[in-house]
Amino acid sequence: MELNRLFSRAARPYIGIAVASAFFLVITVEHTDAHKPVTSKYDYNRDIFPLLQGHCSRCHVNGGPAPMSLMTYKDAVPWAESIRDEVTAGRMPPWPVDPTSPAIKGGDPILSREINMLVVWASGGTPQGNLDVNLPAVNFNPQWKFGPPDLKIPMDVEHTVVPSATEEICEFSLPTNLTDTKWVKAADLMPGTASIVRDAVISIENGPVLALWQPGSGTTDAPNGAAFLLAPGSKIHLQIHYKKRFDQEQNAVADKSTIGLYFTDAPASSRELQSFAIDPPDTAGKPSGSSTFAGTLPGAARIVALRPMLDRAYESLNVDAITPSGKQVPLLRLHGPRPQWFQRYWLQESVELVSGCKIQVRVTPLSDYSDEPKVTRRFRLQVALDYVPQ
Amino acid sequence: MRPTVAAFLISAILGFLGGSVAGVEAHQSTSTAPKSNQPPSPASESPSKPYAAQPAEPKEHTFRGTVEKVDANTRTLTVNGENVPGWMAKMTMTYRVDKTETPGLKAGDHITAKVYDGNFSTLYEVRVVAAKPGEVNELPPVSFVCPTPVEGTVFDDKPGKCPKSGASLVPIRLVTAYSCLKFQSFIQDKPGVCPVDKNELVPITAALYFTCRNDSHVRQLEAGTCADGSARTRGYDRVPHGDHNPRHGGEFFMDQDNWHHLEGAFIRPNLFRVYFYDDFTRPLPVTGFSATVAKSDANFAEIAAPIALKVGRTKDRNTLETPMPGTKLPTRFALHVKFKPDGTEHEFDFTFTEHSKEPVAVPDAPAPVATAAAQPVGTAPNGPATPVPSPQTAVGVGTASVPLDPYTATDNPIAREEVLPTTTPELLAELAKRAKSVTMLLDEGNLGGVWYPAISAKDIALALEEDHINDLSDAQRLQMASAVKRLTMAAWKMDAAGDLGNKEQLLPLYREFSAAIAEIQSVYGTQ
Repeated sequence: MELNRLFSRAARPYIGIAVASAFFLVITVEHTDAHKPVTSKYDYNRDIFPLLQGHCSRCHVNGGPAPMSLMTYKDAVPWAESIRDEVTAGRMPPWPVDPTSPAIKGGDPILSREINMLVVWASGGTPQGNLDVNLPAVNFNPQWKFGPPDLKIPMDVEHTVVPSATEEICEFSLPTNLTDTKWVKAADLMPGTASIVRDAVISIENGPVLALWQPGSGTTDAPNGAAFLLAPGSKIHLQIHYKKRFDQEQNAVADKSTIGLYFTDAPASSRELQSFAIDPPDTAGKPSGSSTFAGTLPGAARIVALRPMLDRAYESLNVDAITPSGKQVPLLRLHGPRPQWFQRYWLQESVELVSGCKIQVRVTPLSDYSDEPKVTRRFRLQVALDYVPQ
Repeated sequence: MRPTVAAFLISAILGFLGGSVAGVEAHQSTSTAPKSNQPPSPASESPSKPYAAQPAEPKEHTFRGTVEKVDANTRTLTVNGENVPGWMAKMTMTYRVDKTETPGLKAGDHITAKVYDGNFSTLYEVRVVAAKPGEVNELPPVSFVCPTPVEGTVFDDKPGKCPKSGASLVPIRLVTAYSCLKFQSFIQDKPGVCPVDKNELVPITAALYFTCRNDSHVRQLEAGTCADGSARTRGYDRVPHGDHNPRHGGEFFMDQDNWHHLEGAFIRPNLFRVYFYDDFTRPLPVTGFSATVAKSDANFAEIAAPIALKVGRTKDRNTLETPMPGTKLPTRFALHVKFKPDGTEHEFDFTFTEHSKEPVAVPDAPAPVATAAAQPVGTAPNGPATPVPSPQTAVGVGTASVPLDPYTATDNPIAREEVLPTTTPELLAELAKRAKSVTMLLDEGNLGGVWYPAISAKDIALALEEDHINDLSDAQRLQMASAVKRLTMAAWKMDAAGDLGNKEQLLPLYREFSAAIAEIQSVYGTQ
């Protein structure tokens, strides 16, 4: 039983009295703090800070890409209601991989118990706890995920988001100046101004997508034997989604980000990573109900990653392979994926598929979009698979 | 060679729980115990211990205690030992004896024995003695203990200073008291049934003090009279190492650092799980811990390649676990644990004759009788009431009633939490009732009342996920994690939507909620 809920119900008959008393106090006392009844058994210093630090500190920290820090009690309390809404809706933390999914690399799934603790605290008076506790300072410290990259490719010029714009999607073509062939196992981005770099797509120009970059989610490298081929003279295509924080609106904000590439040895098979995209028919993905669409793999393949790009928020997205013998092999299970949090899901264990397999995608739209925030970053619904031909 | 470690098997609960943990064979790390019947020589002990380098003979102490269990198979005694200044505080532990035969020794016997510095596992020259007349009603002697956490095991029978910090020793009276196994705040002076989960109370060593009902600041070592003329009442504080009862029907060890404690459980079908605790038997997150386990033979020599343990999915994140496929019972495991990435490896040996079983509630337990001495730890007698089942719950459990609004059931909701049943079938039955309540309230249009059974169902699901998944397969556990997460989110959203009276918003949430509950029921229905 959640005590805060019981309390709030029990307190309702007394709200009128409380309001009258409060009015009286306003005219008799010079200043008084707003006070909420504290019914949460969890407090910030002991219970909530470790959760927020573990799940949110890569973005929700002073100087970080998120519009607010949650790393001190003072910072977090004003956002308690938002925290409650975001975690119960499944928007935060942005890792929609369902526990029943084949294991995915990276990510930091929040547990049911942790969701419960956050909500109890947020709606139970947001107690701070022991004031003698000195919480460690959390600082924004962006770093290359895999250490110094083998090749850094900075944007050639600084880009400025003008005062009148709050959001912008920009494309950059950046030379690698490579004179010999390289195999790329990972790509990362170091924002110049972290607060406005909302997401990015890093690709080989007219070639495969090297990375779908999101702040905080980091980068994951391709498994052994899988890599992208980068030919001499190749260019990198960088698409950055800039979005100002609310406190930056009406200001000009400039950025000069840098791409980092990590190389690896040529795969023994000399086969480069390839992609296979599955698009729905025009009627799929409408909010009227679940829909299924499919495509057939061009040949035998070792599936290493999946990249769903979404046109809207979905309640669920499931991807399965159907072998020629009819066996269903699960590839990905997402619960509550959002279009703005697109990412590449690297499978913990690659999946070997024989020639002739059908890849089936089933999407179920959210039942209610009324509380969903307006999202400008949307894509055409598509699920791409990254694979090594066998 | 395997590294030695001073790990103590402590199975105080064995004699009290009887059959509930009958499959656990008490066994002590063979590398700890001396191999002969002679007092230990320093060289036979762990090289990591400071005394190992001392050339002098180990100091002898006289040990006194009451036998709680005699185990002929393992040639061990479980003894509620008195405080032995300079050797070991009052606690219940399982000891080897120096002789293979202990004729006539039985539970309840008062014994003396010789014990030696550096060997906390063996009793030498055990003798049965008569109980001191009238000792039951006498206050236990005053002991002196370090108040600093890191020196919590330092006891003496006279005032003095802590060896490291230099702080003054503080006087306490150590007694055997009885507590709920999983609800540490409930302590009383005699055996009984836990009012919260209906399990048998377990014996613990606690610090006795006397206080006043109307002045909780009073904390005296002597019974006496309060300012208002009333008699002081007894209170109990937990002490380090006062509770070495396994929480999950497994085997309980204390590490040589006197701080880490662990419990190994072998869970059906073949999962080996290790729970970690601190010196107060509080769950200890396994951050930075690593461990491997290998099957071992009767002499605890490893006979299979070690397997790395992974972090378990328990609520306190205090477990490491691994499947042990193909294991036939009885079996032995050698566990190697590092508490720091760069730390030394500590070994613990386990013997399982059958799968571990969670403690179960006493069937048809009588209504708990709170004695005058029963009270939460660290609170005054006039502090918050000891949790008791609310009338709401008492009606709900085991009857066909449907829980609805809590206000008809209690006039002070803040003072109590709903007490959930402890067995899986009971929890599932309660879950079904909550689901039915939600349906009924929605049908009636009582949107403002939906929150209570919805939130309550969420609590039941969390309890199932946290404590009742031992018998589930890995796939079922993942299914549970998914369903409970969806249920948790749906319940909180229903709570918000119900407040707004928004039926349009509630109905799809209700479908998510119901689907998650159906999935939970299906997981348990298909085990």
